[in-house]
Amino acid sequence: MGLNLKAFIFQLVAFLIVLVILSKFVFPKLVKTLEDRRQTLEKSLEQARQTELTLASAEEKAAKLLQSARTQADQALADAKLAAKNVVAGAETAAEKQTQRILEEAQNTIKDEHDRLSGELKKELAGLVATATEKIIGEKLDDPKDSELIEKTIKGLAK
Amino acid sequence: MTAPSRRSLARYGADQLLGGAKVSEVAKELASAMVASGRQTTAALLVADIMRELEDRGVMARVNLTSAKALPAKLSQQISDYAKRAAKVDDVILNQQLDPALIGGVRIETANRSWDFTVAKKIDDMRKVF
Repeated sequence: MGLNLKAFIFQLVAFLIVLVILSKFVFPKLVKTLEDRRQTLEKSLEQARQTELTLASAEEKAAKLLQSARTQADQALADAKLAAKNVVAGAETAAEKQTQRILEEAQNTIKDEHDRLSGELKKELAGLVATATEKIIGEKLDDPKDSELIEKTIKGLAK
Repeated sequence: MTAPSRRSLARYGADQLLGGAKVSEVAKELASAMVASGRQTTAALLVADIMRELEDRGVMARVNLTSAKALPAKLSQQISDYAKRAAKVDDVILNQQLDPALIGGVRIETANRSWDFTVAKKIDDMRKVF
């Protein structure tokens, strides 16, 4: 076995030519392509990271909004319940007051009617008593007694 | 010229009567005055005014005595004496009348005063108290 120098040199030159060609025409493009891909990948990764961050932020905002809405809804419900309770209480008070007023009016009417009847009865009774007295005295009072009555009165005044 | 008032006519009439003028003469004068002023329908009021004037002057009073039953003369006199003292006049003219509606007692009236001692008045007062 021996080294074929001519073939070796020929292959070496060919290799060098290929190397030069590759270095000049292929490797730069290849490297550039690989570099471009690497950059693209990096960009994609960066974008993905950004997207993930944005998504997390948006989720956080959404959660906060949801919590705020829940809180507002609870408050509105509590306010509505309180307002309804107040309306019912107000209506009960008004009804109670009206009932009281009606009772008082009825009592006043009864009292007025009682007073009126009482007055009429008194008047009627006074009239009857006076008439009876007139009749009795008229029958009982004869001339001598009448004269005696007048004389007593005049003597009483003269004193 | 304005017509004299009834009050001044009454004063004049009283003055004339107390001065001794004849009643008929005074009456004529007063009647003329009343007719002249168109007040002939108020002659009775003028007479009452004259009586009032005479009573005010303490001369005399016309006493209307109203009772339910006829009064004995002695009692009428007692009442007349009482009215004379009460009205503070020298003389009274007693005028008696009956009114059974009074039931009993007596009512004494002069031109300026009245006293009601009737049973009807007492019953009426009782009625008012009720």
